[in-house]
Amino acid sequence: MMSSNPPEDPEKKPHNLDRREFMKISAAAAVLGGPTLSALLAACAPGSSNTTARGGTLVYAMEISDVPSLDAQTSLSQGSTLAQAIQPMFEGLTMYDRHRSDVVPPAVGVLAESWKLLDDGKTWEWHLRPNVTFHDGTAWNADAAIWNFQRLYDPKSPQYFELAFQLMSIYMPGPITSMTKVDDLTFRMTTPIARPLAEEIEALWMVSPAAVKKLGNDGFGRAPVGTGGMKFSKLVPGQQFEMVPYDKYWGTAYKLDKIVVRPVGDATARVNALVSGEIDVAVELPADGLEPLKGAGKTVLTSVRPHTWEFIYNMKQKPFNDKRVRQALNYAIDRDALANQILKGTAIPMTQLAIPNSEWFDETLKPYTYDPNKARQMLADAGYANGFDTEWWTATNGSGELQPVPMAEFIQSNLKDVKVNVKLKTFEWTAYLGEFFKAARPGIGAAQISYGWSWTYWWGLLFSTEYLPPKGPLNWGYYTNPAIDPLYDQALSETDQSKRDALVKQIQRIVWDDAPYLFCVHGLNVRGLSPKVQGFINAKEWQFQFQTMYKT
Amino acid sequence: MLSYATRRILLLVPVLLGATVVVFGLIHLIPGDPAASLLGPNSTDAARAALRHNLGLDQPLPVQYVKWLWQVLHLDLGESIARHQPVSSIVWEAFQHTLVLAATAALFANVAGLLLGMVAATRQFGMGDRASMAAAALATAIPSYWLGLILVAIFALKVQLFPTGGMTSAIEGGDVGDIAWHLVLPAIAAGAVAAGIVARTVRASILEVVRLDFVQAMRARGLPEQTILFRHILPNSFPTILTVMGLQAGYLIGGVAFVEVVFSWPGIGNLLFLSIGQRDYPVILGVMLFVSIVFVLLNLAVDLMHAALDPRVRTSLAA
Repeated sequence: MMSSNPPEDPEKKPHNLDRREFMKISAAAAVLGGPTLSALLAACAPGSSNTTARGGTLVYAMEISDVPSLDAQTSLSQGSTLAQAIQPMFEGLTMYDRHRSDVVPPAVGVLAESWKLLDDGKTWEWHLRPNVTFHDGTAWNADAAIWNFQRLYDPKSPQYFELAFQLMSIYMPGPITSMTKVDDLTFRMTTPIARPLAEEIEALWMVSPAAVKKLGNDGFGRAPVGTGGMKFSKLVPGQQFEMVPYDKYWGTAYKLDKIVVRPVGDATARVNALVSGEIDVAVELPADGLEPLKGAGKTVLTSVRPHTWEFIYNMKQKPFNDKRVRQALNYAIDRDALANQILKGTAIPMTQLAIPNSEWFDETLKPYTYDPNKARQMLADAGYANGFDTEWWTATNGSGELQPVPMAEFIQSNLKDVKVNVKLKTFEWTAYLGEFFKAARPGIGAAQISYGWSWTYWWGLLFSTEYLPPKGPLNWGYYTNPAIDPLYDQALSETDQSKRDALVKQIQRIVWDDAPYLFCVHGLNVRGLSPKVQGFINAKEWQFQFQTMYKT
Repeated sequence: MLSYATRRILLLVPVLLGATVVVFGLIHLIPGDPAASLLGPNSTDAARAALRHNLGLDQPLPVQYVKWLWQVLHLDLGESIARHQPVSSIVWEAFQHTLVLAATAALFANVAGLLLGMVAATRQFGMGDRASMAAAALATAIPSYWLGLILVAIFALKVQLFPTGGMTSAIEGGDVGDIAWHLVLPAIAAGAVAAGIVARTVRASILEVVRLDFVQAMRARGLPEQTILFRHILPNSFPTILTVMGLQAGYLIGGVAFVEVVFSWPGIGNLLFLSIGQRDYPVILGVMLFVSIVFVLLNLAVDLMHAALDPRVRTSLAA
């Protein structure tokens, strides 16, 4: 039986000192006299009593230009951007424990206290956390849980929300055969094959059935109701939404008095707004923004996350159907300069697909070093002593794309040193995706893309024979290796995490050697904070949590 | 006059129909697909195909267009693909914000243009004339988004007098003073080109009237220069000035688009920019339709005002 990390007990009534009260006390103390004032200030100073320090209104800028529907179950249409912003209002059965910054956050129980796999090997029994209510006062229980899964998976249920299913399906694959209620706080979920569900459903956050019934899907998107520590309080369409603490929250109370979320889609505009003090926290900041931010006294943090940036080779044709060529080019690029000069330290060189400290990181895997001589030799061995010409595609912008054009041009110059002449063709993001999804065509040597990696099944979508295009256009270059398929099938249904991780590592070892990609860098999370923000935990994941944050 | 107005309003129909056909054709010519934009690189082919089907994007283009037109005739602009909300309310919301910005920019453009033009005309070939016209030429030559960036760099980042963007402050914002504070930089950036054009028109129109015989006659009779300028020259120059001002106001409705993007102003320009990136076809069409209607109506209003101010135009309309 697996069990979750026990949640912290709700704090005793916290020391409610907001800025206004602080000013009042300070003013009173000033009247009383100097020694008292300094004593009082010392007592209130940040850091002196971090467990009780709290309060403040935090302004967070999300990296989209609009406030879309705030329904948790359609939020992933914006990558993790909107999910990050609405996260304080919502919880799932399990979630990544973003209170940790030492490792890639593991999935832990939140609305589920524990779960176990029954003897049939396909049915999970979930034991739900008692005494949890949605912000509208209705109870969280087995009925609510089943209702939520039906909203996404059961076309026959009245609440079935097809758009939400389509948006979520990439994050939560696989059908659910049946769901049954055992008692008020227990339900069972059966899937066709055993699956590591605790990990796979962490992005599925629970919404209030009563609120959706009352408001409809559109209305709910403008007045969302979840079980999280903050509840929705205000929406100014197109401009911002606000959240305030939920006083009946089952877990540790949020420290902030209010969170204001504003859409600031342009990365430079986020840097400017941070510099001028209009916002307190922003993420996905550009490499060029680091100096101005540091110059203005802002805190800039970077942290790894499961992200990769690569060129996928077209393996259907020469010269990239030859493993020696693919490997040779991997020895021809200077990843260190790419990460530290072009991207100014906002990325790290890719030494394997898994990021350092993650469950899939393999200490024994040898990275591709920067060795142009070796690359030239390997190309000569493959019959390309005089190099070759090739056309490569990249987007000019886009989700997770870092700075694709300067990066691609740098790679182009590296490859020129080994007599490989790359002609670059660039596209605007949405146009690029349209082209990319058509998979490799004759005449195109490689296409650039960046991926986020959080789930075991991702390795299958990219590398198993079953998901070759057109079924799975993510495998743009038509890479296959029959040795991967049995490993993937085994990994997918392996519920013992350490065994599953070992299988994924075996897949990675094969892929790394076959080199279907020109492996480049892992982009880092670049997070900018006002120095007034305290209690921030720099999680090694796409998202961070707001629960421990407060402002001084 | 009434029949003229009616005729002009009826002319709207073919103009708008033509505009929608062009826009509909153009946005479908851009490569890229809303389902891909919405679902992103991690999506499967099946999910995208299902979404396209749901949105009706798997039907032939003429069918999609006729369906859309039929909806519009029922005063329904459809639902946004990316936002899952009615297009009409999204566009209307954004349009109000654009109107605030465009009106402020027009006010700035007209006041600044009028002052510069009057200074230049009354000091023809003098220092004041040269300085004013140099300023006007500069204002017309600088692209508005670039001016916006420069204004942000100086007055929001270096001096920190004004905010870098947005329409209100995040915390306790939204009152008139707060919005006015947010309006200063974008209104200057958006209005600069119009200010330059208005200034040059004002100068030229005044100088044209100044040369007329009746002005000489008034001067000969010893009327004070100020009276001549404000009571006689300006009113006679107004028809031309007003036409240019009206046209500029019309251009501003669409022309603030770049400025809105630079300043994250939640108006239709920003909405259009965002929707093109997402290939949110219903919103793009909704915005274009709306802007076309406003532009045509503004032009009509200017023509009618022109007629009201100038009896000669009125007579020619009646004929």
